[in-house]
Amino acid sequence: MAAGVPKQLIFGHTAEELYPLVVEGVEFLQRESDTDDDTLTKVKLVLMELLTNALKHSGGGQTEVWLHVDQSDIIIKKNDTGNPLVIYCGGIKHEWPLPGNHQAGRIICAYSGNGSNLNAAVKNNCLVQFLVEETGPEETDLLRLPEHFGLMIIARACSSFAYEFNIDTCTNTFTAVIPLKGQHG
Amino acid sequence: MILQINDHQDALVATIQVKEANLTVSEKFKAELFTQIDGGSKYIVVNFEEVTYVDSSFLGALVSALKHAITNKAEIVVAGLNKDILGLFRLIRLDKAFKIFDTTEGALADKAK
Repeated sequence: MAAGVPKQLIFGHTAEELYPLVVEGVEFLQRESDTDDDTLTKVKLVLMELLTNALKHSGGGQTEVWLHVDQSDIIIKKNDTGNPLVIYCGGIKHEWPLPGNHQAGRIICAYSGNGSNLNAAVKNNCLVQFLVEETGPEETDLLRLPEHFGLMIIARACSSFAYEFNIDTCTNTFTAVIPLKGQHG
Repeated sequence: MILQINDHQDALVATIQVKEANLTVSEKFKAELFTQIDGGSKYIVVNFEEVTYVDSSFLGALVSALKHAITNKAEIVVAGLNKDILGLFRLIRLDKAFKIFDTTEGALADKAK
């Protein structure tokens, strides 16, 4: 389909707004494109987890979510000025922006368990790309199952998922890309 | 209360009474499930029939309760997942961690086998 006008959703960080905003975003895509049900399910999951993340971590103000459809993808961007991304990996706290200028190429594991890792591939000290790495069969020891799934849900629902911290405006931006039907495995 | 509890002989059906199973109710849900496990329930069917959507916080609470059940030699199964929730379980491989049934009746019948 042809690129259309982006849709903006404003989230004021109350739980009551969350699901109605998800529905508003999905209805916009249904009106603007011939998006299939499986893709809409992924959109729902991504919107829900992005807004839940904002509810948990945003320090105040409001969160903006932009929905945009281009020739091959649905692009969802979430912007807020809340707390920057923090990942605990191997007992070490990683907080954005990462210190120093030599971070590119580094991999920070954000989640591990149940046969997969969620890795944050560092592009520079402000930008990471999340990548799912399949490490083996599902966990047989259920006591070792992870209990934090938010970022993993988004990463698995998308073809591309990234986080960027803007130092000048202190803005966090998550960008999730979901292929339209037939565009992705 | 998040859960409505119904006893069925040696099993228990815990029906989630909210449509939006999200972080605002996840801790309460977890605490109520822990209470049932600590009370000696050995087979708990968590019924999602009334739930429209589930978020990661709620799933985290469910996994935490599963671990508590295992530690107490109990079992948690799930039933009544709508298409979106079933898709979410599959997406993050929780369909391998939980037995999933279409209905609570199916879950209870499986227990009776």
